[in-house]
Amino acid sequence: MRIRLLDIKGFGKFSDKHIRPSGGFNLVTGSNESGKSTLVDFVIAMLYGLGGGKRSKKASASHGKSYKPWNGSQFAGVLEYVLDDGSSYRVDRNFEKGLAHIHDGMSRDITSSFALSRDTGPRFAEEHLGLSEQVFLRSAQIRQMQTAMDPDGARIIMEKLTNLSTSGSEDLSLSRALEALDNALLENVGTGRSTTRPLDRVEARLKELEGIKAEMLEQHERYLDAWSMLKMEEERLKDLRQKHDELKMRHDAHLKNRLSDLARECRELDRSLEEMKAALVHLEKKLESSGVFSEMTEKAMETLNNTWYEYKEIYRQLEECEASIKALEQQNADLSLRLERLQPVREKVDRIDRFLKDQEQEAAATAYQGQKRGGGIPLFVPVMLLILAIVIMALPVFLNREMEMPMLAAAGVSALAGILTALFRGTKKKTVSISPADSQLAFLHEEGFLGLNDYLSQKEELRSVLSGSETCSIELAEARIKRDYLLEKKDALHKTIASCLDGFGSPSADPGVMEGVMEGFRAGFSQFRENDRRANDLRQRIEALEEKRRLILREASALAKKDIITAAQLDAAASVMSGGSSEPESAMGQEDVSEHQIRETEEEIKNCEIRIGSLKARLESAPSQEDLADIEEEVSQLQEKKRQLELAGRSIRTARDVLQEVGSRLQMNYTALLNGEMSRFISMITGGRYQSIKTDPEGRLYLEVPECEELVPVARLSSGTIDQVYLSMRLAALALMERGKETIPLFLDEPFLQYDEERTLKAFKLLREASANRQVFFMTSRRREVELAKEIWGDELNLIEL
Amino acid sequence: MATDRIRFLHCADIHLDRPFGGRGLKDYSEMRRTDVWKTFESIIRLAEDELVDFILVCGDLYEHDYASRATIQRVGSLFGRLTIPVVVLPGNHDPYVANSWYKTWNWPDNVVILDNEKPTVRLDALNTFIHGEGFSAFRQDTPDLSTVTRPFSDCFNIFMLHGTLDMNFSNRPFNPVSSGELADLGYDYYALGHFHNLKTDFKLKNAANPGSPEPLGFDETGDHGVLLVTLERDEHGKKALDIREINLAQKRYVLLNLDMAAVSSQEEACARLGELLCSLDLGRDLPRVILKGRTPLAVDCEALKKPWMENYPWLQILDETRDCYDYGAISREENLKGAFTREMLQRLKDCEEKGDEEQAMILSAALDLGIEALEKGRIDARFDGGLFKGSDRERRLI
Repeated sequence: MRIRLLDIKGFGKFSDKHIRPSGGFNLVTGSNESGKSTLVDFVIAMLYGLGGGKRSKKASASHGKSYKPWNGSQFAGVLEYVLDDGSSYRVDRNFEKGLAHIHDGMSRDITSSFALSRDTGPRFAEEHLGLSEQVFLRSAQIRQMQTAMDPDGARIIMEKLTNLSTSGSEDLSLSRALEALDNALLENVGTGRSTTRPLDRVEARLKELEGIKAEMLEQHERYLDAWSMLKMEEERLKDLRQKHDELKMRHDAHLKNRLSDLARECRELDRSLEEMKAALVHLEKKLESSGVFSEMTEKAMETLNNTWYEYKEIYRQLEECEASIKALEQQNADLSLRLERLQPVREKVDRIDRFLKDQEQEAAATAYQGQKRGGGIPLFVPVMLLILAIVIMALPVFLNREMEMPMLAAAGVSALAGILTALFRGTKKKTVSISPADSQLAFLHEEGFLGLNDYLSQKEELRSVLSGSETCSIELAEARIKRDYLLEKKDALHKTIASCLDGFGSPSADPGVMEGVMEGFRAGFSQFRENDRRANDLRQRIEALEEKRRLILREASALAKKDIITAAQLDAAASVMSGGSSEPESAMGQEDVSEHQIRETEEEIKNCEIRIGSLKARLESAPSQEDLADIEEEVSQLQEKKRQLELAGRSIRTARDVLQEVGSRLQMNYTALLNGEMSRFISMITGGRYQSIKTDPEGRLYLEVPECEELVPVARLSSGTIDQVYLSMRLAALALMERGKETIPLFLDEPFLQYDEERTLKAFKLLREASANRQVFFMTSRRREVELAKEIWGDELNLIEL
Repeated sequence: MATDRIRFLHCADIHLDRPFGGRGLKDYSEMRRTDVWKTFESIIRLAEDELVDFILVCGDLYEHDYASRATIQRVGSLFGRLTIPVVVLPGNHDPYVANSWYKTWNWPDNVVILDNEKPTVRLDALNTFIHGEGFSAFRQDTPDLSTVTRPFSDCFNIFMLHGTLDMNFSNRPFNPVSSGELADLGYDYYALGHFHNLKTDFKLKNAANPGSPEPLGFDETGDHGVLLVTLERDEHGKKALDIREINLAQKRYVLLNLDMAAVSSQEEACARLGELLCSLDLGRDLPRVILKGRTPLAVDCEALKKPWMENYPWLQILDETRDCYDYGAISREENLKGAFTREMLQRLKDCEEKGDEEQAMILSAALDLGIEALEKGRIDARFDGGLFKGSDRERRLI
C-alpha cells in the first residue's frame, strides 16, 4: 500500500490540509506541536476509524473529540491509496457522523463489500493490509518515545506472524480460534468440570436411567430369586409331606401297637381287679363276723396284754403271799407252843434279869467304866432303823399308792435291822452288866440253872423264841396286809380284763382258764388284724389298679382321640386304628415317632405352604419387562447420544490440539525468521555490536551481549538500545508479514530521539533499505536528522514541512 | 448295531425377549421380538420336518434380564412338543446362575441342560456323546479344557461351546479358545455359539458357529439361520461331517451408503435413494442408509425417507456427510489455516490407511471445526446428534 493523498478536511489542528506523499521515504518535519503525531493519527483514523467500541484504545469519547478540529471546521478527511497490485482506493470519512465510504479506482462505492464493524465502519484496511489495527499499531507505527513494546505487544506480533493471512478482514487469531473451540466444547458438549452442558445432562440422565434400570433388573432378579425359592420350597414341601406320611404311618403303627398293649393291659387289670374285689368281699365278711375286735386297737390290745400279765403276776404274788401267811401262821403256832414250854424259863430269866438289873444299878456307880465300854452301839441306831421301817410302810399311804413288794421288803429289812441292833446292844450291856459273877452264878443256881452257860443258852433260846415269835407276828401281819392288797389288786385287774373280753368269752378268776381265754382272744385279734390289713392292702391295690386303669384309658383316649372308658371300647379303638386288622403292625427297626415330631413336621409343612403361597403371590406381580424395555430404549438412545457427544468432544479437542500444535510449530518457524531479521537489523544499527536477538513464545526479547555469555533481557539495556531493538523487531515483523502480501507503509514518529549520531546514521541507512519498496513516513523536529536524511536519500527524499 | 448316522440342528444366540431398543420406536422393538419368536418356532418346525435326531442350542437361548415366565413357559412348551432330545448350553446372556430359569423351571423331560456340574450327556439310543462348556456366571474366564471328557471311540462326539474361537477381538473375550486347543480334544464336531454371524471357515474344519437365527442388529447383516448337521460313519469307522446352512430369519439387516458428494439437491438425493432401495426385498429387509461424503447440502433425512416409508417402514437414514470446504485450496495457503489443514489431511490419510473409521470421522469433523474457528473466531456449527455440521448448510437447504 502506498498513500497517494492525505486530504485533511479537519482533524486536530489541521484543516484543509493536502499532502501528497511520495511512494518512498517521506520526511515530515516541523517544530514541536506542528502536528507530526496528529498526521500519523489521521492516517490510522482514516484506515481503521476512530472507533467507539470498548475494545478500541481510541474508544474514549475524549480521545475521539481530541482530534476534533480546533477551528470548528468539518471533522473529516480523505485518504487515497494504491495497493501493490495497482488498484487504487479512496476513503472518505466523516468522523463527526461516523460515516465512511470507500471507492475504488472507478469511483464506485464499494463500502458494502467490506465487513462492517459497528464501531469503526467498513473494515477495508484489515482486508487490504491484512493487519488488524492492533497489529498495525505494533508493527507499522512507532509513536514518539514508544518504540519499545510491552510483552503483550510482542505476543500480538508473534500471533500475527503465526496467523499470517491476508484473506479477509477478520482479525484472525490462534488464541481466538482456540477460545472458540473451547467455547464450542463447553457449550455443545461439556468439559470434565462442567455440570450443565449437553454431555453432562446426558450423563446425568443416563446415570438416573441406569439407576432405574439397575433397580428394575434387581426387581427382575428378585422375581427370578422368588422362582428359585418357590422351586426349593416346593421340593421341600414334597420332602416334608413324604416325611410326614412316613412319620404318620410309623406313628399310627406305634399307636395301634400301643393301644393293643393298653387294651391287653387293661383286660389284665380288669381281671386282677375282679379277683381282688372278690377277695376283699370275703375278707370284709370275715371282719364283720369278728366284730368284737373291730373296736380293739393294737394299743388296747397291748394294754390288755399288760393287764393280763400284771394280773398273772399279782395272782402269783397272792399265792405266794397265802403260802407265806400259812407258813408264818404255822411258825407262829410253833413258836407259841415253844413259848408255852419256855414259860418257866421265861419267868426265871425275868427274875434273873431283874436281879441283874438291880445288881447293875448297884454296880453302876462302881463300874462306870465297865458300863461305858459296854455301850458300843448307840441307841439311836436301832431307833432310827425302826423309824425308817415305819416311814417306808407309811410312805404308800402318803403317796396314795399301793404298797409294793420292794418297799415292803425294805421296810422289813429296816425293822429287822433295828431289832437286831437293839438286841446286840442289849447283849453287850448284859455282858458288861455281869460282873460280880459269884452272886450272879449263885442266883442262877438258885433258879435252877446249871451254870451260867446253861442260863445263857436257855435265855438265848428264850430270847430266840421270843424274837422269832415277835418277828413272825410282824411278818404275818405284814403278809396279811400284802395279801389284802394283792386280792384287791387282782380283783381290779380281773374286772378290767373281764370288761375287755366282754362278748368274747366268760372270764374266769382262774388264770389257767383265763390263760386259755386270753390266748384265744389274742389269736382272734391277731387274725382280725391280719384280715383287716389284708383287706386294706387289697383296697390299696384295687385303688392302684383302678388308677392305673384310668391312666391306661386316659392314654388310650388321648391316643384314639375319643373318650374310652372300658376295655371293650379300647379294644374297638385299637381295632379301628389298625384298619380292622387285629394283627399288630410291624414296627421292627423303627423308632417310635412322637406326635411332637409329627406336629413339628406339620408345622413345617404349614410354614412351607405359607411361604409357597407368599411366593406365588409375589410371583403374580411380575416386574414389567415392557417398562424395562422402555428404559433400555431410552438408555440405548442416550448412550448413542453420549457416544456422539463424546465423538464431538473428541473432534473439538482434536481440532484444538492440532491447531495448537500447528500454531506452535508455525510460531517457532516464524520466531526463527523473526529472530534472524531482527538480529540483522540490530547488527546494522549497532554496527555489529549486537548480532543476535531472541524472542521467546511469550514475546519477551533477549539480546546476546558481547561482554556476557548469557542472553540479556532487553529491559536491562540502555533506553536507546531498547528503542533500537524494538525498531529492529517492528521492521522484521513487517518484513515477515508482508511476504507475498501487501506492503505496509511505515510511520515513525521521532524514533531516534535516544539514538547517538552514529547509530542514527546507521538507522537511516537501515530505513533506506526498508523504504526501497515501502512508503515510509518519518517525523522529526531535529534538524540534524533532516540533514542526515538528505545525505542518505539525496533527491529521493520527499520533505514535507508542517 | 450302533447308529452310523446322526442328523441334528445346531443353533445358538436366539436371544428371546431381547428388548431391541435404541431407535425410539416401540412398534419396531415389538416387531423384532415377534420376529425372534417366529424364527424360534421355525427351528422347532424344521426339526420336526427334517426328522432330526436332536437339537443343540449353544447358548443365549433367552435374555436372563428380560425373559419372563411366559417366555420360558412358551419355550418349554415348544421344546416339549418335540419327541427328540434338546440339549441346551447356557451362554453369557442366560447363564446357569442360582436363579436361572434353567434351574427353577420344570423343563420337559426331553430337554437336557448342560452346566458345569453336569457338562455331559450321552444319548445312548443315538450313540452320541455331548460335552458342553457353557456359562455358570455372566462372566467367566477361559474354559478349563483339561477336565473335558475324552471322546468315546464308538460314539459320535460333539463338543458344545459358547465362546470365541480364534476371535479374541476384545480385551475380555468370552470363553476364548483356539482351534488347536479344540482339535486336541478330538471331538467329531464342535458346535459353537456366541458370535452372532454365521462362520464355518474356522481353522478347525469340524467347527461351526451358526450365528443368531434372527439377526439382532446392523452389525449382523446378511442371511441368518441354523445349521443342519449330519455325522456319518462308514463301514471302516471313518466319520464324515456335512453342514448345511438353513436360512430361517424373518428379517435381514441391510447397510447402504449414499454418496452425497455428487448430489446437488434433495430431489436428486431422493431419487438416488430410490435406486438403492429398489433392489431390496420388501417386507424382509431392514435398510439403513448412510449419507456419506462432503456436500454443501443440508439434507432433511425425514423428508428424504418419507416417500419410501410405505414400502420400508423401518427405513433408517443416517447423515454422516461433512461440510464441503475446499481443503485442497486451503491446504496450499501459507498460513496457519493452511498448515492446520495440511496437518489434518495428513492425519486423515494415515487413519484411512489404518482403517480406523471412527478416528477418521473424528479428524474429519475436527478439520471442519478448526477451519471454522480460524475463519470466524467462533463455532456456529450445529450439533444435532451426529458430529458438528456447519450451520450455513441450513441456509443452503434446497
